Amino acid sequence: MTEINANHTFQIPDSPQAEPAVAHEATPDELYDAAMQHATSQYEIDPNAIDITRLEYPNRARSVAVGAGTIGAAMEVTAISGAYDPSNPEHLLAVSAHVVALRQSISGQGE
Amino acid sequence: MASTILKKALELLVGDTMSLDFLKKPIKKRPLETLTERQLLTLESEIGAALFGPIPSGHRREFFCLDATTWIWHEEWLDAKRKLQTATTRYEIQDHGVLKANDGARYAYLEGDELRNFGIAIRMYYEQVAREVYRVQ
Repeated sequence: MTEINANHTFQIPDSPQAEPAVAHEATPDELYDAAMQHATSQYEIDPNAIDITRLEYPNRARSVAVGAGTIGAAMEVTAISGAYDPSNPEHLLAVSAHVVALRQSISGQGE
Repeated sequence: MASTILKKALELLVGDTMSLDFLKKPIKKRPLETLTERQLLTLESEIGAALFGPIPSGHRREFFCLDATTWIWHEEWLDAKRKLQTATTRYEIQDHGVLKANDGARYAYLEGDELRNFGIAIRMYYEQVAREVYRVQ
């Protein structure tokens, strides 16, 4: 679980299942799957729900582009429609932009 | 433009300048439309705070995406002397890394597992917020 102090760090510890994937030079997709498998078992999140949204990622980016009028941000997401690399700042920026686009599509402040 | 062409076509067909109001689609009111950006952010934060497991009794936690490059972790709790303690961590995503600032004082770039865990956390945040707050199917 998460350490709570001023120096808090994200603690989603590696699972035993994740280690073999690293040892065999797994693809980014396999690494993501292993990490997500651990995260879902650790925090009781429905893995099927996560898989569904993940597979539809590029299509969703386009729908957000229409809804929010933030085509630039959504195109950025579409551009990385392959494997999500949680250590790649470019991917993190794309996810963040997507969250903001969703919010602005509702609040109307992105228009 | 399209409606003008359609109107002219109808005039040619029926010889009348009839109203085209019946062609307009009814406007659907979205349930979240009346919420401000700040209220939406509060809803997102409730999901963000729960991403990391149960929140300890007596603690209040916030974790949310402030803007396209900034994420905030905020925690409040009462210490043994019943004094309010707070900790705020700001994560700035830059082109070459994620800069972590604790209470606006200490700065360091995330590395290794912490960077990867942060990446997984914000991805989970996005997926759950999209589904549970914005009802993206």
